[in-house]
Amino acid sequence: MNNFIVNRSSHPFNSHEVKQILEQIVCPAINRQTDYDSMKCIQLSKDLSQIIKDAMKLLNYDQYKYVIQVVLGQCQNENLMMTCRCLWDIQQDNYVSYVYSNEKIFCAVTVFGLFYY
Amino acid sequence: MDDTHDTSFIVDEVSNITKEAIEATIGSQSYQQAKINTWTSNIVEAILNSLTKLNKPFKYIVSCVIMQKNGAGLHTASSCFWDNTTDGSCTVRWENKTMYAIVSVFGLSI
Repeated sequence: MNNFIVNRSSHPFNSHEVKQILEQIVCPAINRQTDYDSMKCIQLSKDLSQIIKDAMKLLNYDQYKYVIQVVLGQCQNENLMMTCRCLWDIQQDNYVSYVYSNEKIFCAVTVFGLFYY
Repeated sequence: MDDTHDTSFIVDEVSNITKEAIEATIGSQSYQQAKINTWTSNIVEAILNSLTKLNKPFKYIVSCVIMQKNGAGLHTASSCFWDNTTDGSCTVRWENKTMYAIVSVFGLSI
């Protein structure tokens, strides 16, 4: 009989910790914008994704790959729906989603952590 | 025989799968608040099913944003910490007269 033994992470992805980091990064960044400015938001979305990626690297989760997605938009009474599905290892992989908005701008950030065997 | 075809993330292939899924679900539709939940789920699940059938040793993340066209601005950015030689992503932007759809697919090798 074949036994396929799967590695387990010694420091697994912790959703709660990641969510706190996201709050600390996203809220001040959005509140610093006085109004929706298209050019500034282009740069802000890229900067936020890089900053969050660097923060995730500092958390030192063992053997994880990360995908960070930032959606930034103008609040104009629009309707928007964001959905995601994943094909992954339900015991090791996880994601954290955080949405923050003020009157002018909304920001939805999703961080996926996938274990690398 | 070239082995990399079976174990690498091919952007064109995934892009075609994504475009077909969007067209099949919302190709001829106008924005409807009540249906948006079903549409995003259907698009994402159709893409994931097609990707699974490719039988590649990958984990996939598929995300879909549908937004009503009303003049507001929207930006998406993504950042990844992975293996550049084996992993890849593909983002498709689609629109019709009443809505925008942005679908991102990330493939990470195991």
